[in-house]
Amino acid sequence: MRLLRYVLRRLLFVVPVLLGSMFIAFLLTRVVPGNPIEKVAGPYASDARVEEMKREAGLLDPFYVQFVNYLRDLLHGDLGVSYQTSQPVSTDLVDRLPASLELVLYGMILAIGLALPLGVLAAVKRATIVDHVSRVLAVLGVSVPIFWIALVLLSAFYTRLGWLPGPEGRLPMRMVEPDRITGLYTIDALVQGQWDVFWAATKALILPVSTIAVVAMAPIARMTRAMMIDALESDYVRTARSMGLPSRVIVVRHAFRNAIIPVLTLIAAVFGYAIGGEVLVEYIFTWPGLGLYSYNAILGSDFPAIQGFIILATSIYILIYLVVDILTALLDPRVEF
Amino acid sequence: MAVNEELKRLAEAYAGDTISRRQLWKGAAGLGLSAAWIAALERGALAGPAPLRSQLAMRAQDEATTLIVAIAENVDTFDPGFTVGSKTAQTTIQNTFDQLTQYEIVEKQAPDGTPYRTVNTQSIVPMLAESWSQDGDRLNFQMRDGVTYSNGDPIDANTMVTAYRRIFETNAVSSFLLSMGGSVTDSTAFEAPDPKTFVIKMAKPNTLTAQNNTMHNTSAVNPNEIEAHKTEADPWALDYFKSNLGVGNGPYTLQSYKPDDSLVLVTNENYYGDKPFFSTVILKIVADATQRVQLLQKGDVDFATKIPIKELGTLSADANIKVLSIPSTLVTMLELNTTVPPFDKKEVRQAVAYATPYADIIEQVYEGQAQVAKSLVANGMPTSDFSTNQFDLNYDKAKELLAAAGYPGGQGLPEIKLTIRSDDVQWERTAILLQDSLKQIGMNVEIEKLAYAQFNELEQGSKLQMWTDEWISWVNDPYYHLSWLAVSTSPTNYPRFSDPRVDEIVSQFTLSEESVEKEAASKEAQALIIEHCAYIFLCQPNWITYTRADLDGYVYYNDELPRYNHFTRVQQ
Repeated sequence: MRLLRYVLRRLLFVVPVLLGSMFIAFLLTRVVPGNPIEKVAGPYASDARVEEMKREAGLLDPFYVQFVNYLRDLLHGDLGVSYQTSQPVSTDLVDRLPASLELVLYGMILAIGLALPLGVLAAVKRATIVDHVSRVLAVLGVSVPIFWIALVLLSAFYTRLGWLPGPEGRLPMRMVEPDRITGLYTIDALVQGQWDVFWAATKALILPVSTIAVVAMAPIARMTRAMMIDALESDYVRTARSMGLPSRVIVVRHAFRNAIIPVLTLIAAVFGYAIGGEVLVEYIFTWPGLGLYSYNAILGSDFPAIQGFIILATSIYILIYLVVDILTALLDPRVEF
Repeated sequence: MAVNEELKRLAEAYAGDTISRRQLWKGAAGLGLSAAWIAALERGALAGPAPLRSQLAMRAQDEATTLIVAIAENVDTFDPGFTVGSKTAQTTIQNTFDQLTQYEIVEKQAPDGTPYRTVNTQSIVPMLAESWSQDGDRLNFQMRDGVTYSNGDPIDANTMVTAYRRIFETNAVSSFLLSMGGSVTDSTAFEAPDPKTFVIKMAKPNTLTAQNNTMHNTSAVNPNEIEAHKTEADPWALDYFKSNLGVGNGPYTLQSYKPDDSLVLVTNENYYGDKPFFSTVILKIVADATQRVQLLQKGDVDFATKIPIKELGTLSADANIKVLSIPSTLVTMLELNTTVPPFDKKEVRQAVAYATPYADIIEQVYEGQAQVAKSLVANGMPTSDFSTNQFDLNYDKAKELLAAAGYPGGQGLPEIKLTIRSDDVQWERTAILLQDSLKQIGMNVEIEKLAYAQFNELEQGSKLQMWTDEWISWVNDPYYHLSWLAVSTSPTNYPRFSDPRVDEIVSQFTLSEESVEKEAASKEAQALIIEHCAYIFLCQPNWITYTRADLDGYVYYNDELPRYNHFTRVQQ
């Protein structure tokens, strides 16, 4: 019951955060030069026709009127129509969300799955080869741009070795996608027993997921190592050691459980970063997800699409933080809710 | 043993693991098969009875008749009357709709001697129409018998009347084209005296309207579809056709479109013309040019579009890639806003023209794959005249002109921004050469890179000071070209060039038949435009296509849109 109240209280904060992000997105799209009408109208349209089209689209209204109208439509579930695809933005987002989720979720699972053991091992075996390797990987992941990692992986495993598919998107060009259940091709293909599709979708995921994982695991591994070192040097670990508890129990049950709490918060932040970094990954791998959609929307000044993407990304971000906060509250008895 | 039987034996032996991959390749190559066909054989074409192999065999045979093209962008709208920005939309419409007439295909030779196919824009031949003729101010089209849309709906002259009326009553882009010079004034210009005869009435006899009428923008959407999707507020079903490609009448139909992913075209079973070699065309949307190049090099696509010029060297050296570089009428230009200081002074514009490194741009930016450009009407267009253009690189003359304008050594010049689009590295390279060269005369220029939409808005509003751009006219007619770029009231005259004599010439001759006076007037207008230097002509880059070596049949059209029904795959 207390947990439910905590969740509800947290959800109340969602409204101002969403409103604020919407306002900033709305403001930025209007302040930066460029508007979608010039492109839609084309070069042959007269100035008068362009003005008329802007008026019809409401772009000549004062800023606050445009914003209020947008909020009103939003309350009716209407995110507007994309100028680039001529489809409702909500349809576009729903169509593309699974592609991005498949990428980010697997990327984060891989990153967490590698970073936590690596961080723990580096802390336990400080100043050994494991620690050095972990540090090098972490520095690389933090300092090397995500697009460069993507290009190097493509160049090595597609162009030179030919082991993995190139930037063809989620499936090879001639392959038919599985019927949509979740929209995640790997899951849908598995559920429907389409093994060839599952294998092809998995192969297509390996390089973009690895790119995201390399970048995402670096800060998590570093933070895990630092927190584990703190925990291993703490009084309660010293006490546990003096009581003769086995080393594995000390590391896993006592030190790691305490060290993981700040790492959880970092994982939420990295998840948000991965959603942002995904734009470049999707662009390079021709991945038809939200990243590529927002990239095209920004280039084309497609206001409704940009705003729709920001609302969705903010919502996902808020949801992740909410889940992390709940997990933290459950794991850390010091947190009151 | 016949070649086919030997191939089958090889395939079966490979499928049954009795020969190695190396033996398969050696044997098939010995029979004269290309790498692509051997790869297909390896994947199971002609193979034995194992279930997986037989499935793969089907796929391999499909591969031979499937054309995969890497393209760069999404569709903006599927409405033929309204698409202006997206080559993908235009190409899809062009391949799924025929027009009443088309240009005749002819053979030519590239400067390096390579033969290629293109069109003769002076010769218009029938397409959907069985025949056509111009009778004074009337264009008459005799419709083919039995021609239908891909769903079987018949097409006759009344179909065309409805479709052309829609173009005019919705103010579609095509209406601007057909009404150019006041030729076709409104929707009453279209008539069907009988179901076989379609007539376009023009304000006066001219040669331009028949050319404008060959373009994809005049594709006729199906009246039954309009009827099915119209509403009271939208009697021409604009909303529907915006995001849905109409049932076409061309060699292909659209099977699927997934934005940011692909479009799939399949042959139209009801097409009246020859069946295309490729039964399926996959247009794979690959936003990043580097990845399009990689896919082509690896053989995962047959044809890649919008390849930056910097890739020319690498791709030319690849034996598996066919590079065709042919002269085009595209002109790249430095445009100077005549309403903004310091370019409101003709002498300053002329100084820039004398300080432009033309040869360096051709060699360093376009790697020699461009022609010299000396007039707004490009070389290759009728009446093109370079003879009055004296603006070669000459810093002394440039400095003199700058001093005459009140800016000796560049002193007193306001801040100057050279704005470029960030979507292609060629613009940046050109801008850097211009910046360096203009510095020689004391003109310091700051380069500003903008995304496409931002650039578009500022350019179309004539809010830029100095910028680079390019133009190719879909219709190979000098007056079509001048109407868009040189008439003072044209919405695409972004530098706001204005000369009453040029306006007068274009107004007098746009709608007229060919004559000596018309040719002389075009040359007079070109000389005036050259002298004003609102447009400085950098070069005419070649049109370069990059395909796999086994792809043949490409035809270059002025609108730059590939027609996939011309392509074939050949054995190497």
